[in-house]
Amino acid sequence: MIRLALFIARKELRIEWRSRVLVWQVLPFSVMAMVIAGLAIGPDESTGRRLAPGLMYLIITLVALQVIGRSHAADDARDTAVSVAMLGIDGGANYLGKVFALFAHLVVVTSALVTVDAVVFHLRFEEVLRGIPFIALSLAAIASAGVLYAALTRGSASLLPVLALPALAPVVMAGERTLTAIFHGGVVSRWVVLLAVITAVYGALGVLLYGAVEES
Amino acid sequence: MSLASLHDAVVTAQSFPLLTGVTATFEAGQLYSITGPNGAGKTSLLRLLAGLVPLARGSGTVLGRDLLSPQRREIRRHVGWLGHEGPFYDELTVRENLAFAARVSNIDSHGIDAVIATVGLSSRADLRAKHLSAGQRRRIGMAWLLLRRAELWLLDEPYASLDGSARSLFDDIVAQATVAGSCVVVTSHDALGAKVPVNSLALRGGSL
Amino acid sequence: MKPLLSRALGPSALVATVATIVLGLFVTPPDVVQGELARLLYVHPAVAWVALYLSLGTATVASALYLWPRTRSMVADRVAEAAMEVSVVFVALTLVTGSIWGRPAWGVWWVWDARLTSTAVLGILTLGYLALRRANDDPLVRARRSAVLALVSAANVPIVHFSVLWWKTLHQGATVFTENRDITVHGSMAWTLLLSFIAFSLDFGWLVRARYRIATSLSTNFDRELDVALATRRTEDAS
Repeated sequence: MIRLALFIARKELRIEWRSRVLVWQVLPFSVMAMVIAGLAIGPDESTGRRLAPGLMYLIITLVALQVIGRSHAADDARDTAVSVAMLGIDGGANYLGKVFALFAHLVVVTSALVTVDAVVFHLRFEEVLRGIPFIALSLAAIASAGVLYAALTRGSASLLPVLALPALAPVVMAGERTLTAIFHGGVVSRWVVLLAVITAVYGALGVLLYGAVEES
Repeated sequence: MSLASLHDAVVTAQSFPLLTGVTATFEAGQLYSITGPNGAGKTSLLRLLAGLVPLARGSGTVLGRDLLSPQRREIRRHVGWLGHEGPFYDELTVRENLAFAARVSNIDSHGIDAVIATVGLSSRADLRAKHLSAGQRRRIGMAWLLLRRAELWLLDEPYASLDGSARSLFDDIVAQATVAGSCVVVTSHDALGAKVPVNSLALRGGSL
Repeated sequence: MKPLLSRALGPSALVATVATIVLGLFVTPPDVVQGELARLLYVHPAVAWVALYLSLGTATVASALYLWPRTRSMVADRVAEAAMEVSVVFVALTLVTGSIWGRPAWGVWWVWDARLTSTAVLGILTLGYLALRRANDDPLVRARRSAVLALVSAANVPIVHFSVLWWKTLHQGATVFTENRDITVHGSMAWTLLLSFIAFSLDFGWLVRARYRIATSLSTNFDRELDVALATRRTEDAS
């Protein structure tokens, strides 16, 4: 199943790379959103430093919604939906493949976001570096949940945020708390457990149930 | 041998009956042509046989699977399908599309170059599907049918956007499949230029 | 036996609810610390129990039964839908009564209290379920997708609970029942509290059954419409 999933992930990445939507549309949006957030909280530097983790997670979530929405874009194209449905692809492998690809897309977008966040809010380089594993873990949680919600809301794009945002709320809390703890001191272990649990729970549900969602 | 049979099959969209009670049997090694005016239910009948839509009333089995049971979803994995759509992904090349379909369907991909040659796309094998004409895109679908070698073929308006030589090629492919023992079900406005005997079924207002 | 129980549901829900109102408002004494406000004890905990456990539990079990091929039936789908709709109403009531109860202590209508916050997040999750049902016309697609969402949402309940709890405990451990606001429950108060749980559970049962009947009659209508449409289409072709 994993090998098939990796094969599907490669297909997804190839299609995304050739269409360049991520590079030319999502990436500029995410950078601009970070700058706008900086403008919205005013020029005070200490406020910026204090709010940086929360703002970053807010924007990661908003950008993730866009990227998640794209995870089924190629499948929903005019001609593709029926012909791919006729292949009867294994639900679990298809789910995992899409999660891997979505994770890779999120990593690309978030790298740019984190860099801008660090520059405009004057975060220290080593702090940001220490935060990276936690950010990566929260992206895994977002990816494993996101593919399932994207499949559930296929055909009604405006429904995606309604379902995904309350479900991503724990990821935002965990992410913000972890980064704040790294920047200003505090406990991170329980949040790491929480993020791992979210990733595992969605991963298991996705492998089991994705086929049932796609079947329809 | 009967590969598919329907008894008084009704298929609906909301509460509108697309099929109003179809009873039919489809045998191995036979070619069936389903004719009828627009909206007669030709595509709905194919989608029902493919397990893509549920039965609202009546009963049926396809390739040994009950259309009323959850097994219905397995059917699609075992039929050869040519819809109005041609390839799988616009951003993948002809070869990549076929390799993808073969891999996820557990089909040996060694024959890909041969089937690409058969449908006359060799010179365009590494061109992305979106750069092909409508007729060429349908040839990718034909290549997939050849690679797939299913027992039951469901072809929706296969002549659409095909030129003379492609039609002739298509007739050859269908004839070979029928002789090899597959059951081929074709919907069409035009008379088939079939090279094997055709069982004609006229669909009107959702029933035969 | 079954019709008798079924017929008794409405009257017993009514009797239990009226008894709770009478006992809660007129018979039980006001609380030493909280005074008359403590009478929310006979509404809020029972409403929250129905919202967060009984209705979500019912919807989750029904959804799991729908997804399991052997137990798949539209009955399970309708029960899940009915329970989830009732849940939305009770979650809203939980939030409103919690907010009214907390207002004198907090001085505001909303605080980032752990239970309040997680209940609100769950409320939006259940609203999402209803939104998803309305986004799909095909009954089978709707049933399958919403059953999956119900299970996913159920898995979210503990995740949301702990995340909000930990998020909050870094500042304060407040919930509706803080130590200094604890109500000593005894005598008539304890009985009325117990009765309120029974009453609201019965109300839940009655509402779910009513909603289920509406769904069933809609589907019977659908069958009738299909009969008419089939007859119409067949005569059109004959002519």
